[in-house]
Amino acid sequence: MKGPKAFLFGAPRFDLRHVVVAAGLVILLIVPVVGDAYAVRVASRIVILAMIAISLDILLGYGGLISFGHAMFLGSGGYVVGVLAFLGIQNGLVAYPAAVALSILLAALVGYLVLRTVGVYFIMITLAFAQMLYYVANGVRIGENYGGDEGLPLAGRSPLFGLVDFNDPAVLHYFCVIILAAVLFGSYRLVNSRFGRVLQAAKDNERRVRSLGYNTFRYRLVAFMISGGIAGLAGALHMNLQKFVSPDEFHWVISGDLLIMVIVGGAKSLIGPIIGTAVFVFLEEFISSITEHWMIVFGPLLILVVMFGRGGIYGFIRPKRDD
Amino acid sequence: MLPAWEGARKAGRIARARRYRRPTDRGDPLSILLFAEQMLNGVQFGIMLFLMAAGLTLIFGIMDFVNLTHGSLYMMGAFFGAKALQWLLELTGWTGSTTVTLLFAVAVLLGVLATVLLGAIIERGIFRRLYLGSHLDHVLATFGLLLFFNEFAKILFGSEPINVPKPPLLIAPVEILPGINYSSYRLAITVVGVIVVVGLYLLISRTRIGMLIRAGASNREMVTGLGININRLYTVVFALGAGLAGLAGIMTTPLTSVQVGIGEEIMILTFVVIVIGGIGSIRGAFIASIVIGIIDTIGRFLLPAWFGYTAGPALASMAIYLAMAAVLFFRPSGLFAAGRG
Amino acid sequence: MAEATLRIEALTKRFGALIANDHVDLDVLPGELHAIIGPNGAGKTTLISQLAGELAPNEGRIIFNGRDITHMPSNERALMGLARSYQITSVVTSFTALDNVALAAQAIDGHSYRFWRPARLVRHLNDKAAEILNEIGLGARQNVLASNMSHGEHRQLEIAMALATEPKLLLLDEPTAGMGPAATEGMIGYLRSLKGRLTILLIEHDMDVVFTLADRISVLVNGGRIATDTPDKIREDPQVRRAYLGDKAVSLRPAAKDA
Repeated sequence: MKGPKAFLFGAPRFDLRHVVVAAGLVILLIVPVVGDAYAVRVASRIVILAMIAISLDILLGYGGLISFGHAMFLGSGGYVVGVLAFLGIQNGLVAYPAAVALSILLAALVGYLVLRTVGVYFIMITLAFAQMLYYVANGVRIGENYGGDEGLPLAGRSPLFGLVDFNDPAVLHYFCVIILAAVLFGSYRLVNSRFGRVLQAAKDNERRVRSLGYNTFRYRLVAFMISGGIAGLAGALHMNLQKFVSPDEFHWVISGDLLIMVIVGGAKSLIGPIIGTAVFVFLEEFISSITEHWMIVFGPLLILVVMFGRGGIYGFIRPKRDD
Repeated sequence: MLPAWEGARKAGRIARARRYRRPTDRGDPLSILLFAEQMLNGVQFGIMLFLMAAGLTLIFGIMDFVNLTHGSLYMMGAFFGAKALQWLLELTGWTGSTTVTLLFAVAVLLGVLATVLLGAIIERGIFRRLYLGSHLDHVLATFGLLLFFNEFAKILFGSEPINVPKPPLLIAPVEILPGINYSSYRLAITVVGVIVVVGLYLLISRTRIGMLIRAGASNREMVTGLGININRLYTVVFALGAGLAGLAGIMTTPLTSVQVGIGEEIMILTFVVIVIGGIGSIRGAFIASIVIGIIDTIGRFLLPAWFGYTAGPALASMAIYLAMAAVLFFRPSGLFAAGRG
Repeated sequence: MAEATLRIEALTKRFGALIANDHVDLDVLPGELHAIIGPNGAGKTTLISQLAGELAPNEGRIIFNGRDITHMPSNERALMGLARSYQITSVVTSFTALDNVALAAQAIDGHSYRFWRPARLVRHLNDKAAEILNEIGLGARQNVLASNMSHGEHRQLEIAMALATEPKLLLLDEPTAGMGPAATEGMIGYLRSLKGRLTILLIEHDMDVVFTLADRISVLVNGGRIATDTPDKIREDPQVRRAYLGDKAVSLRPAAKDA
C-alpha cells in the first residue's frame, strides 16, 4: 500500500471510518479558531494523550504486551523538560530530543528486566515499576522549592526556533497535531514493516517465531523502546501544555486510563486509540464537571465494554469483513 | 488530571506514616531492641501481605484470573469492619474493656463475612463471565470495578478517614521477653494471621475441598467429570480469597485508618510479592511476603536514620521495588518458580 | 564415512523418577532420511524437544555440523540450520499462508530491524514463499488465513515454513499424524522429492511412510535406542519385532525399490 492510501485504510469504498476520521480531523483543525482557550486546551490534551495511546497500541494491539505502566513515559518526558528548565535550559531543540532519548533509555532498562516475564506477571511488574518511579518523583526534591510531591513548573513553553511563540495555545495545538500525524504515519509503517511482522507473529505464536530463528526478546525490547520514546515525546508536550508536571503523571491509574483509551477505541488499529482517547477525555472533562462521582458510572461502563464490546469503537465502525 | 485520586494519595501517605513509628521518640535509633521490634513489625506486616498474596495466587492459579479488585476487597473489608464495630457499640452501649474487645472480635468476624459475601456476589455476577476472556479483559474489568468501588465507598462511607481504636485489652504492650515490650495488638494479629495461614495450608493439603481446589487448577474437565460443580468451586475459591483480603484489611485498621484508596498500595506490594516469590508458588509467596514485609518496615526505620528525613522515606518506598528489580535481573521467573508449592 | 550432520551422544532426560531418554546415541548422516520409530511413550518427542532446544538434557551432548549445541538457545539453533515442524501444528494463525512462509524466509534474510518498508512489498521474500508453497501444493491457498485452513494444510504449511529457512537438518515430528490416506500419499510424495536435497530426521507412527522413505531407521523403546539399521534389516530384527513391530497389526509394504 502506498503512502496516501494509509489514511484510507486501503478500503475499496468510503465507509463510516472515513467519516469519523474526517470529522475528527476537521474538529481538531478548527478548534483554535472557533473554540475558547479551555476547548483548545482539551483538544490539545486529546492529541497528546492520543500519541501515547498509539504507542501503547503498538505494544498491546500488535505486540501482545500488556503494559500497565506506560504512564512512566508520560512522566519521564515531562520531568526531563522540567529538570532541564530548572537547570536553565529552555530550548525545545534540546528539551524535546532529550525527553525522547531519556525515555528510550528508561524503556531499555525497564524492558530488559520486565520482558523476560510472561503474561500476568508482565502486567504486574510494569505496574510496579511505574509506581516505583512515582515514589522516586515524590521523594526527590530539586532545589529548595521544587520537586517532591509538588512537582515542577515550567515558566514558558519550550521555544523551538525562536520564530514561533508556543505560548499561544493555537500554535502549540497545531504543533501537536502535526506531531500526532507524524506519529500515526510512522507507527503505521512500523507495524506493517518486517519488524512489525515479527512483532505481530510473536504475539500470536511466540514459540514458533523463536523456532524460526528470531530472538523475540530483543525484538520486543526494541518495540518497547520505540513505544517509550513516542510516549516520552508526548510527555514533553504535555508538560508544555500544562506548564506543570507532578508525580501524579506516573500513577498507575493513568496507565490504566491509557489502556482503557486503547481498548475502548479499538486495539490493533492505531486510529482506534485516537478515538478512544477523545471519548475518554470528553467523558472525564464534561461528566466530572457535572458530578464528582462519575466513576460510579464509568467503572461499570468499562466492565460492560469489556464483556460485550468486541474491537472497541473502531471495531464497531469498520465494515464487516467478508472473506 | 486526577481529582478523584487526591484523596487516595493522601490516604496512602498517611497510612505509610502511621504504620511505622518514628525512631525519634525512642532515643538511640540503632538500639538492638528497637531493631528487634521493627523486625517483628516487619513479620506482622509480612503475614498481612501473605493473606493478600495467598488469595491472589489462589485466584490466579485456579481460575487463571487476574484480579485488580483484590485491593478493593481489602478496603471494603476494613470499612465493613469499622462500620460493624461502630454499629455494635451503638447497639449494645457497652464500654467495659473486655466487652468492647469482644465486640471488636465480633466486628472482625462480621466484616470478614460481609467481604466473603461481596466476593461471592461479584464473582457470580461479573467475573464468572470473564474467565474465558484474555488476561487483558480481566485487567480492564477488574480495574473498572476498582474505580467503581472507590467511588461507591466514598458515597457509602464518606471521604473522611475513619479511625478505629485498638481493642482496649490489647492497648497495653505485652512483655514477650524479660525487659522487652511489644505491642500486644500487633502480636495478636500476627498470631491470628499465622493461625489462618496454617489453617489454609491444612485446608489445601488435607481436606477434600483442598484437593478439589488443587485438582481444579490443573484439570478443569476432570473435576467437572467427577460431578463437581466447577462454578461453585470457583465461587468458593474467590470468596475465600476475598475473605483473606478482608481479614487483612480489618485487622490492619487500628494501625492506620480506614479510607478510600488504602487498598491500592498494598495490592501493588502484593503483586511485587507474587512476582518475587515466583510463579504459582504459595511457598514462594509466603517467604517473599515475610521478606518484603521486613525490608519495607526496616527500610522505613533505618533509611531515614541513615539518609535523613528527606531522602530516607523516598528510598524506603523504593527499597521494595529495587529488591524486585534485583530479583528479576537474576531470576526472571521469581525465586521459587515453576509449579512447586 | 561422511561426518555426521547430527550426532547425539548419551542424551539423557529425566522427569523426576521417569527416564524419558536413556543415554541415547544416534547419528544422522548428511543427505539421509533417518526415521525414528517406537511405541508411545518411548521418548521420541522428548528427544526432538531437546534437539530443538526447548528442553534441556540432564546428560549428554548434541553436536550439529561439528558444533556442540547442547546449551544453545532454540532461536540460534534455527539460525544454524536446524528447522523443525511440530507434532501439534504451530503456525501463526492470524497470518495468511504466504505471510507465514515469508516470515520464515525473512528469518534468514539478515536482521529484521527494518521499520519502514511494508513487509508485503518485499518481493524476494514473497516470491520465495510463493514458490515453496506451490511446490508443496498450497499455491492456490497462499492468501488464505492460516486460521481458515485445514489440519492437513497446517502440516504442509509447517513444512513449507521449515523449508523457507533453508535448513541443513529438518526435524519432522509426525508430519502425517491425523491425515487421511490421500493426504498421506501426497506427503510421502513430497518428502520423497526432498530426499537427497536435505537431511531429514523423521518421527513417525505410520509404518507405510517410514518404510517407504527411510534410508535408516532407529527404534526407541522405553527411552533407550535398541536398534539402528536399514529398513529391511529392521523389519527382520527379532528384538524390534518383539518390542514393537510384532505387536502392531500393520501391513508392511515389501521393500519397494523405487526410492
